[in-house]
Amino acid sequence: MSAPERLGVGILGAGPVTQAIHLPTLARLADRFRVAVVMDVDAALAERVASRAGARSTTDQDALLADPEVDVVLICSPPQFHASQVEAACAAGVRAVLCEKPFATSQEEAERIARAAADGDVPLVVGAMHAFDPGWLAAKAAWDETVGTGGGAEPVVAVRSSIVLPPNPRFEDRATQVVARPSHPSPDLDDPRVVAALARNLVLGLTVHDLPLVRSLVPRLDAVVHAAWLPPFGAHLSVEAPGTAVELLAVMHQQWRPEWTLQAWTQSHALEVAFTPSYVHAGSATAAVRAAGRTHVFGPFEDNGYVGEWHHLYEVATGRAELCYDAASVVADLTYTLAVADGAAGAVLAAASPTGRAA
Amino acid sequence: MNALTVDVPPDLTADLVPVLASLPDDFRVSADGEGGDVLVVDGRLADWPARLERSLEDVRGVLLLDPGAPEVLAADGDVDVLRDLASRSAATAVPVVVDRRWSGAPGVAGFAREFGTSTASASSVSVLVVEADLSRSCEDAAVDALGLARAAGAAAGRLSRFHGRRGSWSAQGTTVQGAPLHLMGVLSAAGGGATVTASSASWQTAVSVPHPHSAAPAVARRTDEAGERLLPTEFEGASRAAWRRLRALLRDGAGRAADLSELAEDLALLRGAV
Repeated sequence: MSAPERLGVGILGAGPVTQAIHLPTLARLADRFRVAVVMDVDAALAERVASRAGARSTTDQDALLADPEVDVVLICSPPQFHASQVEAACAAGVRAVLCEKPFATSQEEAERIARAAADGDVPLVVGAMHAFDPGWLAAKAAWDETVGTGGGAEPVVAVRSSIVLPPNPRFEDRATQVVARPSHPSPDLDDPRVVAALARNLVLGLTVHDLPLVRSLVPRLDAVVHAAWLPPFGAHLSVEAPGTAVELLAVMHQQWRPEWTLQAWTQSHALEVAFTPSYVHAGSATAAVRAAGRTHVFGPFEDNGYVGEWHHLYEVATGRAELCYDAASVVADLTYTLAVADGAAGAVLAAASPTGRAA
Repeated sequence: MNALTVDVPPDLTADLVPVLASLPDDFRVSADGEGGDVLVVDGRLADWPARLERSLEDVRGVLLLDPGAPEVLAADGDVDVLRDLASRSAATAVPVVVDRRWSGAPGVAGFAREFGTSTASASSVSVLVVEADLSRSCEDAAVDALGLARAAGAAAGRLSRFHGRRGSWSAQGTTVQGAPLHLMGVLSAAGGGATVTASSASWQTAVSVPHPHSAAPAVARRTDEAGERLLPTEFEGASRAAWRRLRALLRDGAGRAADLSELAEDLALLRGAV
């Protein structure tokens, strides 16, 4: 039996996500991947991070994409660069792209990315790790089997996503030894427009993790009807959907108990998923499907969603599987996420306005 | 003081006999047609305010069980009727103890004693209630949730919005102290429970109450930079605690309980938001 093909990975962006999430994950999957090149605009950072993986470094994105040892591309740059980088990777004809979330910051960017992937016939995987978490996938399959899917399904009456995490460094520092952590200026929280922008970024950066899962349970949202900003960086959102109450809590807080849960209810069943925090390389979510008098528990499984997304990328890039979330699906996820993000910003502004309306 | 006799309506025998049997020195179920020192009014019946009004005439105490909302929400005047009944109860020294789901659990009282001051100064409060009894309406469950928030030290001062659906409801407002208040409720036979979480920039308090039919105790905790403090567990449910409270009121002779006036205020808040 021959050894599996090893794919060369080119990485755009060498920040903490690359260092604390993807390099440790790729190290665990060394039989299938090897890091070939790391690119960052900071040459010293690129060189130092690349050396940890035995890879070469560059500050030139085009050189990375033209490198014959690069089979697949990982995009870990700031979100505003994602669209142009995915387009460039697709144009370069790589075998697959994994782009961190959010893969675009606007609908127009998302559609450009989808076109580029289609035109180049390049599979695109979005780094929404919970969508690949084995605990979630097992529980969701059981949920669908139990309550049904589509028009005949038992209606979901409520969904609650609660993400309470300490600031990223607490877990980054358990996953690796971070080089050159970026600094963030202190925002002016007295300015409602600043807070509204933060609320939008919070959704695009944190709530976004669970929104594809929420969309799979509640396909359509009507509006964010209420938002409470929770200093230093968090928000509690109430969202209306047809026949369903949706509550989205996302907070980064040093003192609160870390908790990452997703719950859904029908009138006869409940779904509860408890995820491990970001950056933690320690198994999957644990999930339960409940009905009166009985509970079915799933997980924890050995692998988490980070391993899951790389496994899937490998299967797709080597022609063993079709994309489980195609371009139309990830664009729809982003449309959904942008609606929540814009709604959150509007609701925060409305709450700060004497008239109760966003300007 | 001898055991008080309790007139238990036949429909409530299954619910109440186990509780009363756990307090044999204090209560005894009266024989059929005998009446009793204490009358139970079933709050799940639509006309419970009228039944309560009639009961205040000739008993020593009343236990109002699981009061619901719809009938009372029919007109503004109904809330005033309740306020009047609360005044009459006080004037005649006939205490009315309200056995409200969640809020009467001793763990909630312990939470309020230990963490009530900080909870009252929270910058944000959320309440999640999952009701497994599908005969309850969204409005009923919302009244229960408001009672829990009040008992935990985060009473609602204003409800700006209530949206009930088939199987879930949500409401937003502010606490008496002005903190944003989110309430969400679910009606699902999959299992019940309720949680109040109060948060500030430097701490978080939370109390979780399991379903009344569960033997599990409430869990009350505070988390801050020093770590987490978990209060001692109290293995008693809301219903038994309500009966013990009624007995204590009668024994002390004070005859006063704020339950009814607080229920009236919660109903008034809900009525203003629907």
